[in-house]
Amino acid sequence: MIELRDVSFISEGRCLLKDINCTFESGRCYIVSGEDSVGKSLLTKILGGIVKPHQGKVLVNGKDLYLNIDKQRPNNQIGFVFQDGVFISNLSIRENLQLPIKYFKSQISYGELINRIQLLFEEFHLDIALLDERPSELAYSAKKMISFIRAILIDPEIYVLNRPLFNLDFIDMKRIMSYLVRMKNSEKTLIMTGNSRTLMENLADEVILLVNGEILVKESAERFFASTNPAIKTYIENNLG
Amino acid sequence: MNHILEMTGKKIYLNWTGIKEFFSFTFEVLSGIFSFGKRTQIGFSVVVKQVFFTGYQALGLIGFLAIAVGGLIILQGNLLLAAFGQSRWAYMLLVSVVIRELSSIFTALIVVARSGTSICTELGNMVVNNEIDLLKSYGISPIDYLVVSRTIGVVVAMFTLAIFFNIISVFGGWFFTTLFYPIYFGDFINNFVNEVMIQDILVSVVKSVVFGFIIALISCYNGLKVARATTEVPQRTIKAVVNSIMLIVMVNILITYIYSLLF
Repeated sequence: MIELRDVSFISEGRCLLKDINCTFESGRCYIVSGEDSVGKSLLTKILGGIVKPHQGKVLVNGKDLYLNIDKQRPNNQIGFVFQDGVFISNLSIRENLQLPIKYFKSQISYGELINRIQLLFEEFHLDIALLDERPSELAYSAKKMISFIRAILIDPEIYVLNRPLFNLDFIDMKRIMSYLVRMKNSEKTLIMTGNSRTLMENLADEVILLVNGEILVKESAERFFASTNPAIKTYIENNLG
Repeated sequence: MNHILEMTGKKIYLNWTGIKEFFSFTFEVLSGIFSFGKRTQIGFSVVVKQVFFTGYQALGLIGFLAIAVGGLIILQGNLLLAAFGQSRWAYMLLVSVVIRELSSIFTALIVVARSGTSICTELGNMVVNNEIDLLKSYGISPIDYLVVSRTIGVVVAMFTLAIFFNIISVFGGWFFTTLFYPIYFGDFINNFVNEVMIQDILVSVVKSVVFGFIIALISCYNGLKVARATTEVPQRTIKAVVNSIMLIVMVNILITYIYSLLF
């Protein structure tokens, strides 16, 4: 379980997130939606242990994520997927995938790791030769899929995904989508941002609507789409068709 | 008047906050250095790469400068001191000017120009490209992975380069001397060894290690201080170069002063 308690974030005098209180139960899928620049990406970074909030706490299974964050490594509780598939640019894809495992002297053997990578590459229909490429040589969709694979490799309990289907073609979107369904069925906690109605209707246990850095609503997808709240109705009409 | 006071106050506050932040960064790097061996396999390969880039690839330039500096000092010394019949003092000049002062300063300037700028640019671009966020998402501390290994690499390279500079400058001194006053290499080295003392070598080594630490620390700090725009990268790099040079000059004076008190 992951819990945000009175979380606020201020940047250059602007309050980007204000008093966020929210609980994400284990084994459930949450989709954080909202207009551009309402703080969705920032919220995912706070949940992913990347950006410490100025106020409030992030509790993972009751423990403060940012308290002694240096001593809690490795971060194998949370798998984070960046919107544009970020990689360390001067390392090959293979080195990128091995980085956290090698860095923390993980128990996984090199052979086992390579096996897992190969299986996942096959599953996502990616050419294994890409492992020796540099990130800059990869197509956008390949970067995004490999970034997804990287999160799966550490097998965390919680996945935080920033717009996982954004800018993908239909086939790649279907592949990611079917894997997300499998993750949900295997009781993983999924927290993702996105403005896709299909994603919400097929996957979300709850939809969270962010407006101006505050949570306007947190409810099931059915209730969200049936809402009579004028602000929600307008948002659905303008953004989710 | 109020506006001026407010601006001054704000500037002092910002500078003070910056200094506090830099000291806490330094402390974190130092504690990372002491626990370096325990944690990581990958950090070691970063150190090796850094030593290769900062040290090995700079050998040509450092060697060229060392020959020129050693040669010029001994030539000028010979010319000036010969007029007073004190040519032997030229060796003393080589020790006090090149070994104690110029070897570490020149090496530091070259390392600032080559490695300081590249470290700052690399880290700045990593911030802009969210690569630092990626490390944090793994639970890898950017200071442990990026800064500590680079700092160790630069310090090792600086130490090696300063010794290399010293050796080559002595050789340069001999080479230029032979152009005017033929002297056997063995005799030249004998005369030089009679003048040089262990504390001269020690002060050169201490300076090179301290300067290496300063360069790595300031370059990494400024690189990681880039916020989100690529335009900040060159600005931060300039700041890293200026701050490194200023601090190196000040620390050099301090170490020389301590040396003069001790020996």
